[in-house]
Amino acid sequence: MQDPTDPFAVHYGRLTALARRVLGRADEAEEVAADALARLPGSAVEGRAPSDVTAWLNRVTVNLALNRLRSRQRHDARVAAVGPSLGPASPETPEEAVTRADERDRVRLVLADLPDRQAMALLLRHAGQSYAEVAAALGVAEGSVGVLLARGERAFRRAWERNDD
Amino acid sequence: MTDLTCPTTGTLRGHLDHPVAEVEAHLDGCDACRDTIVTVADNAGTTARLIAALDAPPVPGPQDPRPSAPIGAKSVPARVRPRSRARATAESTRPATRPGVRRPRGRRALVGIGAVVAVALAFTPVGSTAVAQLADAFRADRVQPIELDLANLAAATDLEGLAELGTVTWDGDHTGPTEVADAAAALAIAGVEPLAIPADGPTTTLAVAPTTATITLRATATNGVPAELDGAAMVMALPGAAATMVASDGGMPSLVAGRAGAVTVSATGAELADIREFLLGRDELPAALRAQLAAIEDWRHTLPLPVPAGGIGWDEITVGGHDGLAFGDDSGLAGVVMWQVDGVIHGVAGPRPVSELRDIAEGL
Repeated sequence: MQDPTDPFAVHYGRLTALARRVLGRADEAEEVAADALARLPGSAVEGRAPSDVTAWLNRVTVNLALNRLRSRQRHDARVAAVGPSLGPASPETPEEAVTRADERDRVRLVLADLPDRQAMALLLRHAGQSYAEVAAALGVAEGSVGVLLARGERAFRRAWERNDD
Repeated sequence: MTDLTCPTTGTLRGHLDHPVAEVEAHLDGCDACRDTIVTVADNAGTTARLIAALDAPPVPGPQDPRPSAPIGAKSVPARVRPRSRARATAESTRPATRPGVRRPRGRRALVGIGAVVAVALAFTPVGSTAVAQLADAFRADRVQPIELDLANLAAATDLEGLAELGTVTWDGDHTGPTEVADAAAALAIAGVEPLAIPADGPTTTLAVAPTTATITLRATATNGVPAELDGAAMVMALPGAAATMVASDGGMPSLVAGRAGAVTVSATGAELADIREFLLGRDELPAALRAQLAAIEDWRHTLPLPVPAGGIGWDEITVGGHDGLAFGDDSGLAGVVMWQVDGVIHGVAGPRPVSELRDIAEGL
């Protein structure tokens, strides 16, 4: 039975899933979720309404995950500049799996290049968060979520198609 | 032409998820805004599909739960008019079968039932709280059994003829349930938790990831698809589902209890009603099936539930005050009790008398 007073029990699964979408790796996602939860004690939202805590944790988790993703991409770029021999060997996988993995990498690349607020809005909304929850996480009025999504989705689409060329 | 009374792009984007009567009325009379919302919807749909692809399909295990179901995958915009056809994005991101995943017994049958449900849903979209965010027309208020002659379904269905009408693409894993470690892992995969049930034997947790099937019509010289429906697509977001299965001494399931999330159906390139009307007029599907589906007057609010014709009996019931259906009898051979709460389908099934299953359901 889930203990409703234990932040770890309440939020860890959701935060891991959020981070996993950004990072694609379960171990890193778990670290990010744990990191976000570790920041809760002493934070501005500690002891506040559950919805405030949820919004804060969502924002911190996506921020941490995006930062880690960007850091990884910078690292990968450096490795690629030195030479492919330094990178991990590519496992032989079926063509479809390779294509799919490539698509996910490209989606993450595009997300990492978006402005923070747009990337967070897209990730939270498309992870099932309501407009009110997205607004709370981003600290904006609920009425602003539509325009954030519209701009984010337009930017995402354009970047995706540029990346596709 | 856009004028001062036109809603902003942000308002139109919000309208896709939370329809507003005033905006809808404005769209009826404004070509420019209809074109704008097509673009907005197209961007939203493309983004949803691609972000949904981040739900990685590696083998889930106790240490590797998959992320929750993306609502974006279900949020394919519905507000697209025939005159302003959206660019259909029908690239498949169907994952390969995952190696090493244990498939529970009976999976084939479940997948078969799922396929039948998918066919039925193609004609009768249902609603839920999530669907209500897409359009006020989509809200499930009730379920209605439709009787299918399962033994002759394949023979009575012109699969080749159906294939001629267009293409079907899938996003996500639609290969059936996966055995997972616990309820948390099921939630991560399916987006819903299994029902906790009293267990008198070892339990197994199963999860089905949400998938999206897109049927895109293609007009050719011979297949009869009208030109105005060429490229129109019907998008069925099939929900994730999670279940707890209690095994008996013999290893067979003695009780299964689960939840399934919201089903959404939407269209791009044409009105959903137009696509439905076209398909119901075709003879590739069995006439009895089409007749029953066509007879559902409140089709935007009704979930059709296929049941074997002439076999299992059913009754309309309530569970905890919610409308539901009970299948089977008190012979103890097999029974199913299902009910709907805010668009989420709950079910209890097993080789037990229906009255016992109803008691279990009431106690959950």
